[in-house]
Amino acid sequence: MSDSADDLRGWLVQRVASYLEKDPAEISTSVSLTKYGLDSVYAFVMCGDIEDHLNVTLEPTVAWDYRTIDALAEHLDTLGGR
Amino acid sequence: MSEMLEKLLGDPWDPANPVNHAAVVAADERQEMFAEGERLLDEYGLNAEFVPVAFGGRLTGVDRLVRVMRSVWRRDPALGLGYGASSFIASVNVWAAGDDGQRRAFADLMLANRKIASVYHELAHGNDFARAEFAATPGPGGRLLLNGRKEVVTNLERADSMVIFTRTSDEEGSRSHSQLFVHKADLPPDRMTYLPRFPSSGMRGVQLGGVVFDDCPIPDGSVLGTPGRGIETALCSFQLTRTALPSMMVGVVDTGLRATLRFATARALYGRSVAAIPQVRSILAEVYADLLICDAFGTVAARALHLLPRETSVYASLVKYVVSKQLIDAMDRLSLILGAHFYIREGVYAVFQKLLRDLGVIGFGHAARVACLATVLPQIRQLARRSWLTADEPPAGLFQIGGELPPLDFAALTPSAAGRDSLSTAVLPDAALPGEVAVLAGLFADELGLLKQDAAELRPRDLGVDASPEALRVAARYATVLAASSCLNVWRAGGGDPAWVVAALTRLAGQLGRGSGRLPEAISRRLFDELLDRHGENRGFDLAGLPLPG
Repeated sequence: MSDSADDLRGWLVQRVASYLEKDPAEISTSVSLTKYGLDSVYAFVMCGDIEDHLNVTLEPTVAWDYRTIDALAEHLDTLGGR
Repeated sequence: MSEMLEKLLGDPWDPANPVNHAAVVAADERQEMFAEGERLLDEYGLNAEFVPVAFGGRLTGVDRLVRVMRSVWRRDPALGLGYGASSFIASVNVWAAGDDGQRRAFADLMLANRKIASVYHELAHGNDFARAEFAATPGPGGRLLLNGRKEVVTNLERADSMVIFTRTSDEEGSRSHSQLFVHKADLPPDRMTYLPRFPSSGMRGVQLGGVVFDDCPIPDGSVLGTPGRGIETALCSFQLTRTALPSMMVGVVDTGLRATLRFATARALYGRSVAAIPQVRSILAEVYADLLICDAFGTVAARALHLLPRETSVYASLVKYVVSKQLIDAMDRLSLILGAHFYIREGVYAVFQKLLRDLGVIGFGHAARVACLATVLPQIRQLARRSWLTADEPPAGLFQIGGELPPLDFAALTPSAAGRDSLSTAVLPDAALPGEVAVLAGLFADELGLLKQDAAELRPRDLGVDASPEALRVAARYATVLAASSCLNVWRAGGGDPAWVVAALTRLAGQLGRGSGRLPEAISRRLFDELLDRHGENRGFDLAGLPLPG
């Protein structure tokens, strides 16, 4: 995984921890976000935050298709144009 | 078109009309669908209203569909649901996700006056359809087998075909469900068992059934669209039904208002007609204003499905939220005027109590009111950040009642508006507004500014299912601003006497705690006079105000 994907992963861990009001250390990047209780509509919150952070436009369902932080970070890294 | 249907169904107050209010009430007392009404709707070919023109039907604009369906709902909500809404709900999944063959098959059934059930509901999970358990899993030969139960489903037994929402994968998350389009004739009869009808307080003639499937095989090619995309299909396509159904039910309050006016003008109390009592007049004027709010917001949202389809995930849910509350409250207030007559199940006003009971479904059927707010909450910070007070103007056609619309594009609907909202910012006043209207518009502009701050301060946990009442209130206040913007701009586009828009904005401001919501005396009188005129001339009470038969 590239450096930027690593950065993204770190940022996503922070975001997910803040949604859940948990310590980032408690968030695993390989666990499905639904397991943490982030439901289908919550993915839209995350999508908006990612769009603002990276200045990109994403499908609102991106977190439905890439369901762990690892998968999301890797997908976002391949999008380019960042 | 709605004129043709009105003519066919005739004057519901005419004692000689076989499909009058008395006949509707009698069918309800027998707990049966209104057979003569169904026969006439078959004759008219009502199902064609749900079928796009490209597939041989008459569906063009959603606003037009709503107008036609109000003619049904204002006579008998059980026909509205049991003849109309049920197939309409099923249809939007098929138009949105089906392939050409599936869409043609659906259209052919509709145009042959058949019924298609929309099989979604599992009592244990309510609106939480991501947790729905009913499953379709591949059997030994690779064919999908259905297992599970569905409950409180309209027309389940008499439908020829079903659109079924089912889990198609064990994985958690939002890519594990699909819709199936299944014809009963293709199923083995011993794998499907109907449950007894669920007794209900309203819609008593409508079949509200259940079903249990036990290893029931379905034909290949039954899935609508890509397997696993069912939640996305539902969130997109139900924007049509969530917008249109509450707006159709404006017809119910039209009749409620008409029944109350008949009562109030015919009955004498304390030596004068009930309608002469100031309190009664002001309630009637306010209910009329509330009906116009529902019509304006519903019509704008219906037009947005054509003009701003990427924004309607928000408007559809909030129309449902606002209109359902307004209409139920309106009927409750009217019932106070009718006194004992709203309670009595016979006689000339008996239709009122039936309408009141039937209308109850608006609060929970096809997404509960709080579920509508919860759909919008996750989007609210984005909406605030990206659009509120700063969005570009919406297209002018959005507010032109009855204006031409481009065809619906189901593929343009999205499960989230991604912060796009051009309707709320359109509430901002400009120099062209008359003083009284400008002052009222300013209240909502101010509210939108406060909402923008409040939205930014929402905690992440308030955006999900654990939202606090205060967070839900942010979404509810936002809904009120959207309703106000709809009223203001429909009036801006149409012009004319501003009395109604002053009344509508005064009512909505009251819901925000800005004023009491009571109408100023002069405005109240103008609306009451208009109401009496329309009643006397037998015209609809909605914005179009078209002539009615009789």
